[in-house]
Amino acid sequence: KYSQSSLDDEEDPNINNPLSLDTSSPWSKFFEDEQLRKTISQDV
Amino acid sequence: FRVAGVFRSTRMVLVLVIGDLHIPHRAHDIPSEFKKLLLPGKIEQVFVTGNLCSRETYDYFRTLTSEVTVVSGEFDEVRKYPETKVTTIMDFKIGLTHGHQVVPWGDKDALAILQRQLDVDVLITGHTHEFNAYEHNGKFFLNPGSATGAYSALNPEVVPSFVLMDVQKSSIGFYVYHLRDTDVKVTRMFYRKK
Repeated sequence: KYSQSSLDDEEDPNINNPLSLDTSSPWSKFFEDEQLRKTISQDV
Repeated sequence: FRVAGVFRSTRMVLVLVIGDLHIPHRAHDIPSEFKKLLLPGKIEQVFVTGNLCSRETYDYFRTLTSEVTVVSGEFDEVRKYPETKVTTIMDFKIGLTHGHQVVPWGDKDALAILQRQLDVDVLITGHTHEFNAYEHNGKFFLNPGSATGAYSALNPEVVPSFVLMDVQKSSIGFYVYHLRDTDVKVTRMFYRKK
């Protein structure tokens, strides 16, 4: 795998897209948080 | 108490736009490279431009979300879908139709007439099996192409494609997924309502 700076990842839609399986994608983080929010709202 | 749900829905909605699959007549399935990406829990709505053509394909979309909107292609005989559907998401009115009814097929002026008739901000059509997206007179026109790369008389060299719309308060991000050999290539476009 080629090394890329995080700025490139932000700009590159091949990594930064909602269906990305790349863990460095901002969307991966978003869906993790989303899952956590859902769990919290169920527990409340 | 649904703070999380409300928070999400006021922020963004992810809509899968896909169609012209022609399963099983012209393709046996959606490419595995695409299916690998289409995981449940991310997509809130699916818009299908038609020509699925099987019940199983519809059922597959229902595994992604319960919100599946389908319009009828000329080969959808298994189940009767409406010809046209208009849905409002956030501030956007979005029209969906297969496009075989719009002649000449894929014609910019003909599509603009339909867009005005439906009074929509975004008009989504299929039929040509060729991805296309452009802004015209402040409105947005989208064709997600064929997700299976099914043969088309209009376009012999079909590259499989679909689109994911990230609908936000006053803008939409379009993520375009093309399958080139075995690689999925993603490009991005934006539309801002004027």
